[in-house]
Amino acid sequence: MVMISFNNVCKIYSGKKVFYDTSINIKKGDFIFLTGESGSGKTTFLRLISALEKPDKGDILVDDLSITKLNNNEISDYRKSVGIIMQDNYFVEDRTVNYNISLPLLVSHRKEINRKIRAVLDLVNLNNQGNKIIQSLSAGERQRVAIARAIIHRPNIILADEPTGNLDQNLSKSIINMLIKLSQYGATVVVATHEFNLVRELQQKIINISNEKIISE
Amino acid sequence: MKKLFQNRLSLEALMSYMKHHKECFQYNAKLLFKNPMKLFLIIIPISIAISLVLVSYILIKNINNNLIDYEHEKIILFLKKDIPNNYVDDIKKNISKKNNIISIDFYTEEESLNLYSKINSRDNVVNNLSFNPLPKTIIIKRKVIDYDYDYDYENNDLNIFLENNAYIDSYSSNIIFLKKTIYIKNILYKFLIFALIFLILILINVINNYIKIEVTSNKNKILIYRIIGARNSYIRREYMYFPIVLNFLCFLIGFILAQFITRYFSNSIGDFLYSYEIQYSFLNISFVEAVLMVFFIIIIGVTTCKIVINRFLDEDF
Repeated sequence: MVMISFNNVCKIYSGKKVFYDTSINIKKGDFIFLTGESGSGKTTFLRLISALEKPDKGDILVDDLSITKLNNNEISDYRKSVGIIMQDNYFVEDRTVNYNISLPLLVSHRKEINRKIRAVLDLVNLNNQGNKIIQSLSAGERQRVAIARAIIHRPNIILADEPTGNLDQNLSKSIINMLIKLSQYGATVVVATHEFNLVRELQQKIINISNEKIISE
Repeated sequence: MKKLFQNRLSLEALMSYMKHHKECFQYNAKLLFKNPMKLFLIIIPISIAISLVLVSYILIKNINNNLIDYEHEKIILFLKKDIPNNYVDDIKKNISKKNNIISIDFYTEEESLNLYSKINSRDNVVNNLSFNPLPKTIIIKRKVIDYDYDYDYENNDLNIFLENNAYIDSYSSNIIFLKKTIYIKNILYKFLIFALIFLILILINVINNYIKIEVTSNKNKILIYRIIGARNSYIRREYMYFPIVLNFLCFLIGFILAQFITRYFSNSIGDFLYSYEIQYSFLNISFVEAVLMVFFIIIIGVTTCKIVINRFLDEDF
């Protein structure tokens, strides 16, 4: 079953074509490594799926829903089913880890918030760190908080832009393995990365972006 | 809110919703007191503007309240003793043909004395009189042309008629007093409009600038809310309590300030009215009027806040 579908998508930034007449399908439960040179359009690809940007031409379907035609409130509701890990992770710096992780649940007024926080902290190896203020965390811990925040509400799609950028090799591998595990439970995971060693080692599907085209390998 | 009750009706969800409101309120209250200098610079101009509106409103209200029987010009005609009854009717008929006449009432000598006693509360004096000093009287009520201060109340057709009638002994009018009060009221109405415009401009300017600074410095936080699927209304709520807390505080300060100023002006008005033998009683704004005023400034504040945040969200995200 196709989860994400790009149909003849064009995206142009101040005269420079990032994507031109690009089409691609990503199935439900797929784990995808998104590779390409710096500035090739990996982040734009993820921003298009998360509806943070709209294509200049073409259509993007997510679970048969055209996200290019949604209004502001519908986009917000759509994003509740997407977990996003950004390259520069932003937090509410003066609040605790627990508060930051619980934000997607608070926004959706979900139940059993404390139980879910404990479970997700356990998953990203941040047990007993919940009451720490974000400012006091190391770069690696911040990255793991960002991942915890992206997965706590069990999204259908997880989009990660360089999620292992600030982590050592072992932790990077365990984080990616965790995302692979989530894809096995049915979530569609797209990870943009530069770490070719990791990509080669884990042997997952790869989408390469180069010269305005998206090539599935 | 509607969606919350439709889809996820649970006590925990409701508690979470209420908790967010509480957190937003606390956050905005803290924000206001975080920087005392900023607080001072924001609160002072709004409080002054509110007090100006309140002062002009309270003074108008007091003038209207104390002069409730002085809406129309009252002309009292003292007729000569030997006036035949048919001439009284002629005079009434002639006066009724003049412009802006509201009522004409004739009083016999005895009725005149009773009326004098009633109006001036001087039963003791009147009851002890050995004779009636008052003649037959006609009281005319004439409409005052409110906003025409230059209208000539002394050389118009009615006054010319009264001057030249042989059976009218004398007459008196309260027009000079009315002209003065109308003049004061007109100035106060103009001042109220000016103060209201000043208040609205100050509110829009202060809240616009403050919210702009706040949302710009919290750009990253807002980005987090956007990517986790928060609606604009949820993000707005974070800042919406600011104008509510601010305006409520400013109203309290403005109200206290207005009390001092109005007491001072009320004394002057009281002295002025006392010279016309009118007892002045001070009347403050009622609870309902205060609530309406608070509601009015909060509506302006919240609307400005909403417009600024919406524009920011539309432009930057």
